[in-house]
Amino acid sequence: MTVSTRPADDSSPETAEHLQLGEQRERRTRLFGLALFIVAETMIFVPVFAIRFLLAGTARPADLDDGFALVLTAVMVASFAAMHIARRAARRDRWPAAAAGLWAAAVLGLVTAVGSGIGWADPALDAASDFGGTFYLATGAHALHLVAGAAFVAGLAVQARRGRLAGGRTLLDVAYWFWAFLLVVWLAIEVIFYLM
Amino acid sequence: MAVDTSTTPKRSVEALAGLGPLLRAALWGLAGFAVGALVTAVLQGERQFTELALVVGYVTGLAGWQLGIGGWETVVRPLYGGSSEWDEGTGRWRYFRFNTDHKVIGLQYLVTAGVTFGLAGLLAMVMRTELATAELDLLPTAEAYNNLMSIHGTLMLFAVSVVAIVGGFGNYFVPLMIGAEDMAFPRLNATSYWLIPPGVLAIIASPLVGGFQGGWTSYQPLGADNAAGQLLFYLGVYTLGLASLLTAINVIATTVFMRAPGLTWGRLPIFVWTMLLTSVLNLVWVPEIGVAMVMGIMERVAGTTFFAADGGLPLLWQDLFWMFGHPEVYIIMLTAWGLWLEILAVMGRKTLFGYRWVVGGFLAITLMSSIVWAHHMFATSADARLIPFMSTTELISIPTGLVYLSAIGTLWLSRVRLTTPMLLVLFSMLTFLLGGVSGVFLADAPADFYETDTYFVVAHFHYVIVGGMIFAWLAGLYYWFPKYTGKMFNEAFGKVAAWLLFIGFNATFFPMHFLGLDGMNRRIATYLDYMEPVNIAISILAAFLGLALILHLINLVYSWATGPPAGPNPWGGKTLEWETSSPPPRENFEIEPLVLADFYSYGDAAPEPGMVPIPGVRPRPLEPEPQRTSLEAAGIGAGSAPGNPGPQRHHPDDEAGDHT
Repeated sequence: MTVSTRPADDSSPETAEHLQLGEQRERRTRLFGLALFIVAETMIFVPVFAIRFLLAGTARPADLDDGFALVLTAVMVASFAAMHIARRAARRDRWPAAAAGLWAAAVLGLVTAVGSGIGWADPALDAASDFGGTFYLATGAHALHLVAGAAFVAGLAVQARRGRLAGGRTLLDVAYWFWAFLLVVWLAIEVIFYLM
Repeated sequence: MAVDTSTTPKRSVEALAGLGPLLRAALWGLAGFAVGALVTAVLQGERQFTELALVVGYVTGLAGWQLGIGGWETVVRPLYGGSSEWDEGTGRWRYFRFNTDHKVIGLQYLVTAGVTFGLAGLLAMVMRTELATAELDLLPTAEAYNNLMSIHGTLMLFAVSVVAIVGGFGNYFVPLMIGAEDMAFPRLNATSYWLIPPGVLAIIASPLVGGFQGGWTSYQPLGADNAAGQLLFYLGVYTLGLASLLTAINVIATTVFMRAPGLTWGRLPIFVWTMLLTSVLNLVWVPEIGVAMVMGIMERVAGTTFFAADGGLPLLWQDLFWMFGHPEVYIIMLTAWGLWLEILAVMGRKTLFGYRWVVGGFLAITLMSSIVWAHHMFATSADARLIPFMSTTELISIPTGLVYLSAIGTLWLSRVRLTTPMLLVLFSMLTFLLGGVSGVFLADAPADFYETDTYFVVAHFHYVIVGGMIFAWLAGLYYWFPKYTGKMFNEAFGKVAAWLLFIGFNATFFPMHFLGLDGMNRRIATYLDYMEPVNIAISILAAFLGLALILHLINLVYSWATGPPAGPNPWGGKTLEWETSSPPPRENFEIEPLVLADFYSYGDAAPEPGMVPIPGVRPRPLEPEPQRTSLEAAGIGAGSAPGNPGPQRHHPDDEAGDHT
């Protein structure tokens, strides 16, 4: 049996109204699934942040390079801005602009991930210290999310370039909200590990 | 579904083609492992196999496995704009590949959990043989015993208890019971299932790299000092947890959005309620243990000291572990209770007692299960901050009491049909109650100081998990057997095996309470001589337990092959899964069901219809009712069977055997 994710063009007895209702339900289901996923993701980062305070209190190495972190924050914000532009463009059916925005979001996200990897070489950090261990845990988890997310966003960019998205605009909304979540997590990392 | 496979000329060719995706997955997985491990070793400049290479190799291998089994065709290729068509297979070969049918996935889970249960059970038999005498005589070293014990516990908890009912029955029956066509995210569902085999294999393979000795809890800092097998524990548990998490998202979205018209929250079948709440617990607490597993890996490969005795917090592991681990107890039990109540109402022919109360009880258990975890840690420190956990632990028995209230209220004055599933539910209720009573002793901090880490604890959790969950799983396997196979099992054989199971189980585990109180520690290969007589007795009696389980297996497998056809509704059940053929077709229902009343009004003088009958599927004659006639006039229920001549005395019992 061959299965396809795209609706077949057969003469099904369902009316157009039915199909529209089905699409709406599918959209709501997908966005709800995303919300559940973000709840689970939050339960990854909340314990990590809690462990940072549990082990190291509010202390942090005095010579940590927080200027570099501000640069990364700017890149992450720019990545989200690109995502925002892409979503607006897709809503107006301007698919080339949407594709460009998605590519920019993916690349800037990857830059943030690689940048936080470069930041790991900071001599102020020590994996065996209370602060260093949770620092690597938090930034590493965030970077892995960015890499996986960038692979997903790049896929959407490829599809957008061809003027269509397999799941309609819902997948783009999924990517948008996931990116918003990653931005929030990064801002929390910025505050909890660099600024406090 | 009867799929004709006899037309294929050569069976061996067919088998090779059918197993193709699985072989490709294994090949890609091995290739991924080799590439990941080699690249890591080269980058590290090491000439030997490092722990980091093992971790990276496992991750790339898992990615290769997932892509090979079908992730490439179903997820990755369509994402990048390629063809989004794939082959789901036909006949029995559907079960050996990426198939998005929730019924196929449910059976995949059930069989995988069953095989894992058998393997872990065999390890238990080896352990009991070793423990028959006080000295070490069967196994070469005490470490070998610890490895066996650890794999037994890890598989039983993470790959059987939390997977068998939730993954198996949850996937198969939640869409059927809510009148849906499939789960909300079918591809995610198949992806979740295909995470289970690599997770199980990682844990089974751990002795190849030295095994792990910390049991299923793998307390720190031992976890950092163990052989590299510890890494496979972390990775395997992480993989299995990921499967649970993705299933949880799917089940919640399905229950919220895919219910049939008229299926309000107040009518939701009790098993679906328990699946929903179990999924909420999985969603919130599995990420937590995922973090713990990653921290455990970092402890070994990244040089961190989270759990080190000096400079870290060894108890942090226990907090993270049990913040998932205690909700896990309810992840295991909630669905088992759901099964109890489903089966009790159907077999007792009586309205489910206190539906609203028991749903409230389930909600309270779900909330309270998150604030009891530290009762596993009473003996770690004499800290007054742990005392409140004693109170919350004892308080959670109140909502649990509501479950028993509903179960016993349903049984009260009911016309019980003592079938095999009903018998197993009664045994499950009794043994879980005994486990709950010993739990009260352990929840009491002063008593726990004496009982902790003894066979009293071993007896306690085998009573609640084997007696509670495994018995309920077996009951469910029998209860729904006609539905998922279309065949009927051998009732007499099943009853004998059920009694043997009950007797063998109690004979094995009840004496362990006394052993524990007499000072026998858990997780030891040798013990003092005075405990030998009881241990010999337990080891011999455990063989009966094993025999009983084998008998159940024989009954299920043999009946699946040769049993008589069961018909769509042999028990006279009212929930929606009984309203379609056995096994159900791919799309489950020929027309979307319309729910008009709640499902548990068994034994009413004039039973309410559960839903509009499906033409041609439901041979059970129903009384003519005003509601129905009006609907028939509207053309919805046309084709239902003619009315039953005796409407007031009509009882679904009377027709239980009449189906063709």
